[in-house]
Amino acid sequence: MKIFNFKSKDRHNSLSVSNSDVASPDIKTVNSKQMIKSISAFETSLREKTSHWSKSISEHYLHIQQKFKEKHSNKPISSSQLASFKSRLELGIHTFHSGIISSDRESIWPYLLGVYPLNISPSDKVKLAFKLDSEYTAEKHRWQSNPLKSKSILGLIYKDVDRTDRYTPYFSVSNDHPHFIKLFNVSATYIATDVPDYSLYVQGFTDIVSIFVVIFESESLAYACLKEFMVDQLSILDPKGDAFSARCALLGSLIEILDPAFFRFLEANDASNMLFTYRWFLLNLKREFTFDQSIRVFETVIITRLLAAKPVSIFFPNFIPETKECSIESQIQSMQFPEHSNSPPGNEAHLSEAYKDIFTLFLSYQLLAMYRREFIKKRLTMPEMCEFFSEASGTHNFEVILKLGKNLFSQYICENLSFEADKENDYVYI
Amino acid sequence: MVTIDEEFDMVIKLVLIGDTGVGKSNLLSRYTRDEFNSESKTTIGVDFATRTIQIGKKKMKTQIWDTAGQERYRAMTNAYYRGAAGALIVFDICSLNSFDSIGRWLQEIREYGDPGVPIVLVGNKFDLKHLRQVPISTAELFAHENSLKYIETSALLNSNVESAFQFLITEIINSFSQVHKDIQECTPLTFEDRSDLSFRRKCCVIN
Repeated sequence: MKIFNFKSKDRHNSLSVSNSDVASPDIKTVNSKQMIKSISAFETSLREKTSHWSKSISEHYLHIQQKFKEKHSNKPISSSQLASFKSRLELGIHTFHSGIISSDRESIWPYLLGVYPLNISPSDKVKLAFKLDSEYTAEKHRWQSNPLKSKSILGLIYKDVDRTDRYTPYFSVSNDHPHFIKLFNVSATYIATDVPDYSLYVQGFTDIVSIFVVIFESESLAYACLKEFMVDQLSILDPKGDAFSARCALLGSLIEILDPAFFRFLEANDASNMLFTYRWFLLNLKREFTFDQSIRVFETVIITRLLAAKPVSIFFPNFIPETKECSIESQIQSMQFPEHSNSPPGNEAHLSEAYKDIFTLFLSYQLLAMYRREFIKKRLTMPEMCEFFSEASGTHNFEVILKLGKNLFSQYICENLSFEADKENDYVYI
Repeated sequence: MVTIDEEFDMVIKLVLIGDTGVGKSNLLSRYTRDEFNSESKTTIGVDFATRTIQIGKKKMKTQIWDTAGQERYRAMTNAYYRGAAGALIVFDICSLNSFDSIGRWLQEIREYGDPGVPIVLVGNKFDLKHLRQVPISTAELFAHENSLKYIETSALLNSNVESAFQFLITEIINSFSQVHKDIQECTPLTFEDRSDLSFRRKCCVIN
């Protein structure tokens, strides 16, 4: 198989973005050929951290690639189209390209997240919704009836809920309003039920929960969808933040390869550890964009986790893993792929987590790239860059950054898969 | 750490620490931008703000690091305290828990910060005095025992916020001046008058 032909395209042209600010300094630093080389090099550096990679999984992802390359309409998906999708994968790929009509997210996200199977009958859906509701109610009553055990963590959650998205109309309410109570209940039920012994909680979690609380009128469906979103993400709740050291380091590696000049600048400013992007990784850049924009980002994160060409193992020597198995297998099964036999990585002495938020990494890169010329020109220090992003929250050119992030992801997924197919041949990019 | 910058005569790094929800971010926004946000968000990771002040003939940039009050992201702890010239440890006068945590914060700064770094203890939210849980005398005694200055502030009312930062900066300059005689020429210290300099409550105690 030949390398997917995006390498011959001029990246600037393929963006079709008219804003001159955008096509600017950031992109000009790397031409498309260099970009492919760089992505490949980045892929290699990630691969070194990947313990195993089975051929059967590779084949499944080739299937994704084929689906991914098919032409897609740019029209956002509506719930009336749900029946036309044959698989969750197909729905996901269409969503990646076109997004979902905002009023229809409530009905489509449960399918996207796998809470409802795509082919569920209306009567089964009613039964499942009822089951989810009774389960949620039971879990909620469990922590409500045992407040002593959970007092301190519930207090912390309450303090956070009290400061979550209060600038939005939905949460501009008093603390006894149903919206506020719903956010508190869903957050507390998740921590009480899905985290062993309330052992993990990180401030900022309620920022993630609020997305689901706003989209879903039903508290139990918000909880069920949050739970799916958080699969394999438990490590982010560890306030010691080892998961983020790894994520920040990955972003540093990506910049080092894609934009060495900027990386050298960051190094000289004691910022190459990228600690100032901690918030970006915890919240999938939610605080950088407006609430509505961040819903679109979360939607894309959901899909790209499904599509991520390769799970990357990042080692967390100090992290205690959740008991459930790595979900790569279950994910693939739920997408109705052919059988596969090999075990996923993660059984070594080191503890590992399948890192699938490659899209968040790329979006972070593009957000930084948007301003890199300005940063270098003004010789901003790390605190000054951090201050800049706090003040610029919600004012970024979202559509362009999203498009660039998606482009990078598309390149990554196709290049990555091509590598698997071509590794027997002379792969000369590195 | 006090560094010499081309644009400024001095740049100093200050850190704000204390439990979650005691008002660190609002003290920062009040001091640097004269703003109070009742809809403020939980700080995640670290945040920064700067303010330039005039001390005598010297122009000084204060760079203030604000952080989440929860157990700190480990990788950030070192970066946070490294080179800090001074710290404000903040508690909420309406929260005994936040006062009880002061010892833990002191321990952390003594472990990670430079030896002898000046610290000011701040009891915030004194506008809510009807809900007070920490008596002034208790806080004063604690401060005295630990050789800290103590001041009570209200970021909401913009009371004593300026003073709290000024106490800290004065201490830093004084300790710095002992080893760098060129700075001494700018003493006695006169801060630019910005907001609440003249507003001092009786409960504001300087040890």
